[in-house]
Amino acid sequence: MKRGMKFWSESPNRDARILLILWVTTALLLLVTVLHVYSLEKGDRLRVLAAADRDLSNLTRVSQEHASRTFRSADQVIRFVRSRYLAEGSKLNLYDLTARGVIDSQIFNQVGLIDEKGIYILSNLPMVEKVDLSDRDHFKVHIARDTGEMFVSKPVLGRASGKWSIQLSRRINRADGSFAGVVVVSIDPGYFTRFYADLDLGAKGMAALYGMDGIARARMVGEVADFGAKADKSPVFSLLDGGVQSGSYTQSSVVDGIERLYFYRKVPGFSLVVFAGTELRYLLAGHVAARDALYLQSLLLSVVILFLSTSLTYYLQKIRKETASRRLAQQQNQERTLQLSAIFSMSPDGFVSFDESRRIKYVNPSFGRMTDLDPEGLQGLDEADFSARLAAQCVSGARFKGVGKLSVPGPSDGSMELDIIEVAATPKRLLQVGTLQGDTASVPLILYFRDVTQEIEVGRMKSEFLSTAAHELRTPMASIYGFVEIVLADPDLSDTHREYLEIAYRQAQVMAHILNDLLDLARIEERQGSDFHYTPVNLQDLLHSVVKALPIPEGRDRPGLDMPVRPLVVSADEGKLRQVMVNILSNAYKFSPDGGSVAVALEVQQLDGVCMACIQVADQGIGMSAQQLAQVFTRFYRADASGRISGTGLGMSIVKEIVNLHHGQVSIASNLGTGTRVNVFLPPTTTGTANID
Amino acid sequence: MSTLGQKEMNYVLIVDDHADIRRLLSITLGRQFDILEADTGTAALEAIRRYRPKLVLLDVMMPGEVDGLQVLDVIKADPATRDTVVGMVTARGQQSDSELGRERGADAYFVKPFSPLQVVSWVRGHMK
Repeated sequence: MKRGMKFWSESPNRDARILLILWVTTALLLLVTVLHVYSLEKGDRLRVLAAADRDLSNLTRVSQEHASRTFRSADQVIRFVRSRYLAEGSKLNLYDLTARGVIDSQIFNQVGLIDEKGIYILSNLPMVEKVDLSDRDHFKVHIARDTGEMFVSKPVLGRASGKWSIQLSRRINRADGSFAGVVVVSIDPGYFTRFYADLDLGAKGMAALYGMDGIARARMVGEVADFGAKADKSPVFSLLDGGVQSGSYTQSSVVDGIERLYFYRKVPGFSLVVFAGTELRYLLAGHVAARDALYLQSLLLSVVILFLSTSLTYYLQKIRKETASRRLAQQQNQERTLQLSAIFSMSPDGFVSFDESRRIKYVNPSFGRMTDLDPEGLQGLDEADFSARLAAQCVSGARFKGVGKLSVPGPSDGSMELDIIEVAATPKRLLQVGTLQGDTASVPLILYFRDVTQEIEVGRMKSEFLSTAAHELRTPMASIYGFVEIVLADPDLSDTHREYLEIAYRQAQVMAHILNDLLDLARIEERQGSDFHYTPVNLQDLLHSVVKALPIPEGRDRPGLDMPVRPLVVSADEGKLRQVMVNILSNAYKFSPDGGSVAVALEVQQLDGVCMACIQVADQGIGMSAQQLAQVFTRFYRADASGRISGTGLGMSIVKEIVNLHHGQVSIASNLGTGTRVNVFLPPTTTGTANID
Repeated sequence: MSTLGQKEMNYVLIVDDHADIRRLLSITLGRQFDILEADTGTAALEAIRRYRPKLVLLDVMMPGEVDGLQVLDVIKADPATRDTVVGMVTARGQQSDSELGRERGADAYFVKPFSPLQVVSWVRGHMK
């Protein structure tokens, strides 16, 4: 019990711990999966971006070099034209120089010269008139002072040509340092965009050349080239101002809304920056596909982990429930067993149970006390050993016959047939032994012992007392009865005295009958038919003889007899059977004081499906009520309360005892005022003698 | 007890340890027969030896060394007394008791309480 309780309190905690471990493990697995996926994804992305960064860096290096060389060669042309102008003045023939290939006209649209007043005076192209360009930036920046740098203008859409151009200009100084004009080289920004178009930057890539002023000199976004776009708000320019020469950044384009990775690089020696950008989506397309596959994989893995954990939890719960119910059943079983063994151990009756291998499984303490055998020492004995041990404890006359020899109850009634053994002990001990065939395979046989010493002793004492008392009463009765009879024989007796004495005489007779009946009953009960002398009795003969010898009250007819010709024979003690018939017939006459016939019939009747010989005695007397009928076999009960009818009240009890001992039955049917019918059923013998009168 | 020795062939011996029963029987039988009385088995055997009664009414259960059945056995065993008529008088009324007495040679069996008139008529029948 104590162990069980401990087990109970432990179990839920243990299960909870297992579940906790399970789900913590599950959570950790999921976390590891997520972290792993995250790190893989991030690593891959960084790798992709780093590679793109590298590529863009290289591309900007190329475009930087391209821009640098282009502007340097333009500067060279400018410096050459400036030196020639200073030498030749306005006689300088730029057209001629171009035609001769001194000036590369492939790149440079126009090479020209603006004098100190802003008038475009010289050009490599034919000029119709001298145009005033004094309002132009590429002129104005040089007037105030000499920066010593080549000026690169914003792209300008030509008023006449309708073409975009960028003006590159340098100041011309006279010998005294005063302003003498500006050399201008005009280049086609398409020269840059065409170059950029050849760079592999993906479908929506971007490449550009910006001035430090934030204005694009040439820009290629996807397939579209444009010029002069303003981007002076971009943080890149503040970085460049801060001295950062190159770098990368990610930004969504204000033009087309596309997010790109950009790389920028300052063009050394010029206030110019080159940019290259690739669309992030394009860059990361492969990465995203791989990432999505990874996400799917990890999702599936997580689902599998969760499914396994949930299944395991469900399974554990199920096991736990099953275990709990099994444990409950076990506990109930154990309690029942404890209860039963408590009952058995407290029972005053002895019990010995055998197991399926027919060995002793359990002996209760009462059995030990009854037989002076040690219950522990009997455990495991087989039937033969047990029978020998028990027989050794008995007195020689009433030994234990052995387990196998005990009567086995029939399968239907389940009743126990009983044997009595006597244990050798002082005072003597009588035990009633019964067997009980168990209906389960595990307990096939139970022996049952009851101490009946007292019952039997009390029964014996009762019979002995009755017998002694009756005997002792007979002698004084003999005196009373005898002397009254003698006095009654005196002819001189007065009528009054005679009447009184006759009453005394009659009552003494009744007393004598009661004594006789009591003795009969006591003896029958005590001996239970053991002194009966059974012989085949022809019922026809018996009834004839009883009817013939029966003392009949004056004025009454002898009973009528209705019997079959075929002899009916029963095995019976003839004297006792005669007593039965005499008692019944006496009652029939006694309880029909107003006359009427008494009829005796003999026939074969079915009783509970068995053929029985039936003796029927019917009178037309006072009969009995249902209440009286119910009491008819009660000792000393008399249906007649008036006292007019003499009797002992024991007659029918004797009848019943005797008939029962003959394995027969008595039944009585009666109605007040119409009479009584008594049926005596006796089992007929098939081997009876066919003795026909 | 009167006329001892004169009509020895007609003696009726009444054996019973109860004086009242002896008196009852002797009153009833005394008018017609000569009566001898004994209150124990031993006394009965002595009386039988001395007076050779023709008929003995013998109580079965008596205190002392010799009971009624033993007296009966002695009577029936001795050729000289074998013809003595013996009526057993007893408080043991069962069929088996009376059968036992008859088997041992008793001629009648009276169960207490008995009718003195019946006893008288039975005795008369045997004393003719």
